[in-house]
Amino acid sequence: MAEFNVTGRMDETSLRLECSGSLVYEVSTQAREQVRPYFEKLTEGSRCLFMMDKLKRIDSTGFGVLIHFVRQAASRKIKLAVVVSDPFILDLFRIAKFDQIMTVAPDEASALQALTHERPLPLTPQEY
Amino acid sequence: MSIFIVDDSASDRKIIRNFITKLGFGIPEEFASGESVLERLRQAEPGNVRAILLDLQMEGMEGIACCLRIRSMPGYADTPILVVTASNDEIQMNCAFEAGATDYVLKPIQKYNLQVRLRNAIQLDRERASRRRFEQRLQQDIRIAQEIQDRLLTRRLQRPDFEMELLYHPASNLSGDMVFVCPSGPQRYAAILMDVMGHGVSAAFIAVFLQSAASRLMQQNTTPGDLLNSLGRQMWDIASLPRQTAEEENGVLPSFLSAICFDFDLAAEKLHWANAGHLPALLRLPDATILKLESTAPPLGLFPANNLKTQTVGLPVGCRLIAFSDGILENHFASIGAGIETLSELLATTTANSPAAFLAALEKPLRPLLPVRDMDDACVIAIDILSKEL
Repeated sequence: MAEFNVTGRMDETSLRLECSGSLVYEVSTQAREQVRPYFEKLTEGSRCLFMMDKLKRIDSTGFGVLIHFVRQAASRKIKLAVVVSDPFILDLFRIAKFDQIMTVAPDEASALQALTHERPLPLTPQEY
Repeated sequence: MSIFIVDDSASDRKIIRNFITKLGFGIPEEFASGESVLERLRQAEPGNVRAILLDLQMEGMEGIACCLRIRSMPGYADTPILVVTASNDEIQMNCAFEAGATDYVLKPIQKYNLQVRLRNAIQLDRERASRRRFEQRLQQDIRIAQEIQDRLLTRRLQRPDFEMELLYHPASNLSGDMVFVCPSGPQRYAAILMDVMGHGVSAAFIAVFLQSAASRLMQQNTTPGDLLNSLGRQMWDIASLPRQTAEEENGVLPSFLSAICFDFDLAAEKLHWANAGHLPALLRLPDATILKLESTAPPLGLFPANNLKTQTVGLPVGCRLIAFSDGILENHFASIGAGIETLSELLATTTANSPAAFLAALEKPLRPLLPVRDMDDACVIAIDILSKEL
């Protein structure tokens, strides 16, 4: 049975969501509910990093969970980035072109830098 | 439906019978031994036995042995059995529950205690039966849906100039992977491989709907790019259907699909294709060069409009194409890129005179890659371009 866990670390401007386990079909509802309370505390202009270094597996439904929060972040003007170092998962983002609709970075520093400089994404989520 | 009383004491049977009758459970059937009730149960319809009140301490066959025998008889696995005993002995109680007892009643029997326990046991049995019926109906529905999905899937297409074969492993009974291949004109064939987010019923339902839309568009010779743009629009429409409540709105995850679509124009020796968020298809040219037909856009359904452009490559006789879903690579390679390289190498080096033979040759190296149950759906299609002449 797949398991997913998330813990949140908040400083003055940024929320780091440390994700571990598998972000897959079986736990998608639970994952969204785990993230939601942290996400709801964010205010306009704040930054949110999904730290996925400890994530073992993600499937299409897991991407669905991420997109759900990408859309929410866009509508609430929250800056969101995903930190992925696992080459398999990074490939999935790249091949599916999810890196065109969300900021994906290999480490926390690059993610924060990308959010600070607000590099435009090829496809903005304004249509959401 | 009757309640059975099994007790070797005539006076105890009488007390229980009176209670049961007064409590409105009808007139019970009485048995003085374990052997006699077993004999009766063999002849009875299991559904007609509402509950069994079984004394634990009896001459001859004891209650626990009798309970075990009843549970082993066809149709009595869930019939409520309440053991009746004068002893409060915990070990004996445990043995009774191990033997399959539903509950117990202590002697001397208190009328309302008997009423509550009997009523609860019967209610539990009713709910179990109802759940069993529901599950059977559900299983039957899933089997029918699986058959429908299976029929819609193109497993093989053999023409003098074009051959296609499919290797298909759904993670559960129903799959979000869908493959459809058809002739779309003289010396022309169309194919699509799509992978809808999720597994099971909802993914299969969307896949079948989109397959139907795709097959209509293919018959109209819609270009692969336009076809995927149209599917993307339809997926967006499905995902954007208004919800009844805000709670429902929050509960729905975005739906999307990755897809790769092909138009094989054999007369012009051209392959037109478009790829939205899907793994690259691999095209082996006659000189064993491998071309990767990579995704140029995110999956479909995330935007109201997509702007996929059709791409074109040369398609001489002797080409072999494979397209696959990500379930084939999951958890077996350090990266997706490494998995694609392995498949490219297998495509370049495996000699086989048909797509079927090629997939059979791939079976051995692919076998460890196929998903275990509850992982992702997995499929590979192989297509050979044979000759321009009909």
